[in-house]
Amino acid sequence: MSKTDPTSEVVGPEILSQRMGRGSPSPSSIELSTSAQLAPPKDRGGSKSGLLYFFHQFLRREYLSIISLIVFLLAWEGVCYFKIIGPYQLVPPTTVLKVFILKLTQVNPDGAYLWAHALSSLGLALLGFLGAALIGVPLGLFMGWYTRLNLVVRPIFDLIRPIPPIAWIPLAILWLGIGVKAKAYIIFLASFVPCVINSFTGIRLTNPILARVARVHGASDFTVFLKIGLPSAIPMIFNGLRLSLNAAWTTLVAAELVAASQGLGFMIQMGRRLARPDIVIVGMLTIGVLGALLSWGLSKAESHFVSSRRLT
Amino acid sequence: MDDYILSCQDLTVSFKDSEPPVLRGLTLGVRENEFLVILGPGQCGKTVFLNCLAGLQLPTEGAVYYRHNKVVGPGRERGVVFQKYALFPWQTVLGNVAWGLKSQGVSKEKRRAIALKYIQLVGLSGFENAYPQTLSGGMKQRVGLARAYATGPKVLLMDEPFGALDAQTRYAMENELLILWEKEKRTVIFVTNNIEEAVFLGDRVILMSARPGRIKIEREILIPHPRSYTDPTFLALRQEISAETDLAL
Repeated sequence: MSKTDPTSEVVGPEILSQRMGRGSPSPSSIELSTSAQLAPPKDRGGSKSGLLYFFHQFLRREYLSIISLIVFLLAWEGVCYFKIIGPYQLVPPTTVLKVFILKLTQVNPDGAYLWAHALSSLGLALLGFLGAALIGVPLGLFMGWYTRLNLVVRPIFDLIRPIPPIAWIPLAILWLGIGVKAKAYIIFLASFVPCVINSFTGIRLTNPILARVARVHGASDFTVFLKIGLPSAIPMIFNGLRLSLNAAWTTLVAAELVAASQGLGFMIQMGRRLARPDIVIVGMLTIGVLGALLSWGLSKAESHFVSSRRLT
Repeated sequence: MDDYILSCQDLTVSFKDSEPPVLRGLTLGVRENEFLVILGPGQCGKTVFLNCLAGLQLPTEGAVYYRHNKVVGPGRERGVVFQKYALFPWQTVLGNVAWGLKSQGVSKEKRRAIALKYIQLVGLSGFENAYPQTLSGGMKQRVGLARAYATGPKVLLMDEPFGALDAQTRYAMENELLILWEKEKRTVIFVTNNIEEAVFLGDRVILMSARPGRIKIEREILIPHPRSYTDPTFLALRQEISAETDLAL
């Protein structure tokens, strides 16, 4: 415990107030953990104390991050309050929060509610991402397993791979117009590459001895692919999906610069035109939060497939 | 070749024309329910030989026969226990043992019953739902044994199955293997580089030489089980074989 002593001085008040709220007289964390064992949160009677207990545990684990966030927000607020950066360049977090709430029920000044922008962007990103995953993952797997297919596809893929997705915008408009299709296509391209590469590498990592085990049991090559190759590749597939999702989400804003009338990228663009940094920041933060949520969702899905049992 | 269950005739395997063959002119017959040990130093082609018998490697010249049929690929009558366990990490013990049965199209209840029987036979009852990486080395290879047994092969090919285990576990596993083999007799071809292991387990020991892999000597071991490492006959045989080996002792 001596290791945490210096920091516990800093968070003393918070934790102490929490303890007082729980009515626990002892400040030692050993006492705390035993009381937790004796009385798990479920059996603590009221749900209020259970919630408090949960909150307390959360604080204990995350206090450094919370402090960091608070300091950051205070610094930001301070920079605006003391006019270090002027109100037309930056608005304080309190204003951002106000505008955020306001934008939920108000279409001004950019023409749509915040949630409409968010939904539009989310739909677009997911459309491109899912398309890329549905085509890219099987393609990568087959390329990794069947050498001939790899020889056929590889040169074309290697040629297209280094082209930034944004460079496709003019062609995408020429081919698909300025609607959803062109944007989805660009996002698709951006998230396609990591799907293919990671699935390819993943299935290449299949332990040849495991494949041999399957063959000894009379499995056909396709069965070995499905039953040995695919499970071996799962961790890398998810790695690819995560990178793809990132790519989809980051390309989104660029794609929405293409004659959009809705979407978070469009909202940011409007904020710039109207010299409204508050709108810009609300759009940016919404992108950040939604992106984090998507990544979190994917991690959840991954842990469903890939539990600790796979660590060999 | 008539009374042999598995045999090979003039087996030669070479990977590159420029190099001497890995195996040259191997002729060998294995009797039914025999425990044959193939002993040899590292890189002498033991694993290649075993892969030929399993049908995973096709010989450059010569052929392998199961009864009277030429072996052209893996077959259900020949099960393999691999070096370093080779368990499917995404499957439980039960899933691993039942895997071969599933690919044979055995029904789910039957699969489970057979798998449980062999899990119990190798002494892993209670670990059916454990995943491989939670098991110790010895336990993993028990799963490997159960998996090979479960599909009901007539011949079991074992490629240094205890090579990755520490000495004590290895000794315990050798005993376990003999007990299992006594309960369910199969033809076993057991590859090892360990002389004690060879003399302890085998009905017959084939000593191989390296580059090219050939049969150097062959010894029937008539010491009754359970054998003791300190038995004078055991020591004499060990001495005799080690004098013939290129193994560094």
